[in-house]
Amino acid sequence: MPRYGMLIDLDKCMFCQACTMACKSENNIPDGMFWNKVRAVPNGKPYPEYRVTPLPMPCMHCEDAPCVNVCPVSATYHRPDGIVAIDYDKCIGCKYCIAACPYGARTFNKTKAFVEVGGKPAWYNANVPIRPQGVVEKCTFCSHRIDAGQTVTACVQACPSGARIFGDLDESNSPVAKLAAARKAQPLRPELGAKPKVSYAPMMKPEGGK
Amino acid sequence: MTQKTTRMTPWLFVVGILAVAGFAAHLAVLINGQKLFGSNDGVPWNILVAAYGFLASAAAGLSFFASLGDIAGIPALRRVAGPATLAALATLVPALVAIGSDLGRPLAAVGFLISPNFSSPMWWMAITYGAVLVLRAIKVWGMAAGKSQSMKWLSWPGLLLALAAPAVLGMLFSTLVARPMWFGTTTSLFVVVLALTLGAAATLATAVVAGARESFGFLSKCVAGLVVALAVVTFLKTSGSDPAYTALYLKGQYAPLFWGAQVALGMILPVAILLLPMGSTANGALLGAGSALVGGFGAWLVQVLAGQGLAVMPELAYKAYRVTSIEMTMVVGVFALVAVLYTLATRLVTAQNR
Repeated sequence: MPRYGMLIDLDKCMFCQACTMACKSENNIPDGMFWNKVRAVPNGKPYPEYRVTPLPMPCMHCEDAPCVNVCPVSATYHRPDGIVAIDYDKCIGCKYCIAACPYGARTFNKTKAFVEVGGKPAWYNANVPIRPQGVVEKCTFCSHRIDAGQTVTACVQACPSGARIFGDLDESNSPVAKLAAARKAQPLRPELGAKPKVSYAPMMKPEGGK
Repeated sequence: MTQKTTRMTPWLFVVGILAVAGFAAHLAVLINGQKLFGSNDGVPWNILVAAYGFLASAAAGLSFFASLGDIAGIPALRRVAGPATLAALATLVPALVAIGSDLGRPLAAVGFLISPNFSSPMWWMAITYGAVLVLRAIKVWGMAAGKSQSMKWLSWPGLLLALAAPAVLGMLFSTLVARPMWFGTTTSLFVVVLALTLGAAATLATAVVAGARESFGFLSKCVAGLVVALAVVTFLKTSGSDPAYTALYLKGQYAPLFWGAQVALGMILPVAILLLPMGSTANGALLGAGSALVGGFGAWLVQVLAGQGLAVMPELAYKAYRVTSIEMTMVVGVFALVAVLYTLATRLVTAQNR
C-alpha cells in the first residue's frame, strides 16, 4: 500500500495561486472557501526591504493527525494509503478539528452547495461529491483521482513552475522521495509531533517572493 | 394562587419573551446556516461555545454543592440542596441547547452513540455531561415524587461526576497543541476551579431566591474562598503561558474583558462584598453571587475567544471575531431559558409536594 505525500519546493513557488484555483474548480469548492491556501509570510522588515514569501499550505495529511484524534464521531479518519479523509455524512460540524489543526488546513462550510442555490457551474466536477452545508472540509490529496488510478493532484498539475511533487513516500525511487532526500526537505513545525506528510524544500536564496 | 406565584408571573413573562426571541434566532440559523454567525476558520468557536462552557461548568458546580450537602451533612448546604438540584438541571439543559446550536449538523450528533471516538475529549465530555444530566433529572423526579430521602445514595456518584465533567471539559481545550493558550494541564485545573466557583455563586443565588437566609454565611465564604483559589490558578495559567499569547488578553483586544469582567467583576467585587457584613444580607449575597457569575462568563469569553486568537503558527493570519446580533439573541435566549426552566421546575416540585 502506498503512503502518499507531497513535497513543495519553496524556491520554485511564484505565488501565482494557480494551485488554489485548480483546487477550487477540481473539488467544487463554494465561494469564500479554499482547501489549498498559499499564505503570505512577511519578513518583518519595513519598506523598502519589506518582502513576503509564499507558503503553500494544503492539508498536511499528518500521520498522527490531531484532527483524527479529536473528532468525537470518527468522521475524520485515515485511509489505508495515509490520506486523512472526512466522512461528510458523519460530520456534525462541531469545528473541534479546526481548533485542533496546527496548520489551519480546515474550513467550515457555511454556505449552501451551489447545486442547491443556482445550479451546477460549467466547471462542476461530477467525480467529487458535493458537501452538505454545516460540515468541515479540507484538501483530500485529490483522492478521487487516486481512486481512479491517477497519481497527480489538481494543484500539482496546475503548478506552472513544478513547485509541487506528489507521490509515494515509501517508494525510494519516486520523484517525491528522491527530491525530499536530495533537498533535505522538512515538514512545518515538526516539533508539534503530528508527523505531516507534506514537506518543504527550503529556499536556496535567503529571501524570495514578491 | 399565592402572592409569591402572582409576583413571579411578570418575571416569567419577561424571561419567556426573551427565550422565545432566542428560539426564533435558533430557528433562523437552522434555516439559513451558520453564515449568520461571526465565527470564521481562524476563530471557529463563537460566543455560544463560551455560553455553553459557562452554563455547563456552573451546572457541574451546582451539582457538586447539591451533592456535598448530603454527603458531608452540612446544614447550610442541605437546606439548599433541592433548589441547587433544580438549578443544575435548569442550567444544563440550556447549555446543551447552546452547544447544539453551534453544531453545523445537529441531527448528525447521533454519531456520538453509533460512531464514537474514544480518543476524543469531546466524546468523553458528552458522556460525562450526559451522565450528569440523567442523574440530575432522576433527582428532580425524586423531589417531585417526594422520594428525595430514598435517593440520597445518588449523592456520591453526583459529586464525582460533578468533578469529572468540568475536568473533561477542560481537557477538551488543554490537549490542543495548536492553541498555546489552552495547551497544558493548568487549563483543566482552571476549568474545574471555575466550575466550583460558579457552582458556589449559583447556589448562593438560589439560596437567596429560595429565601434560605441561614445558608448565606456559609455559601458566601465558599464563594470568596473559591474566588481566591481561582485568582491563584488564573495567575499560574497566565504566568506559565508564552508572553505573546497572554499579551492578547492582558494588553490586547480582550484586555477589557479580562481586567473588567474576569478580574474586577469576577474576583475583586465578589470577595469585597461577600466578606463584608452586607454579604450576609439577601441583597448583598445576591450582588456578590451575581458579580461572580458575570465575571465567570467573562472568564469563559476570554478562555474561548482569546484562546483561539493566536494559533501555534504565526503564518496563520488571525481573523477577528465579532459577535453578530443573531448570536447575541441566541445567547440571551439561552440565559432566559435557564430562568424559565428554574421557575417552572420550582413551581412543579412545589405543586407536587403540596
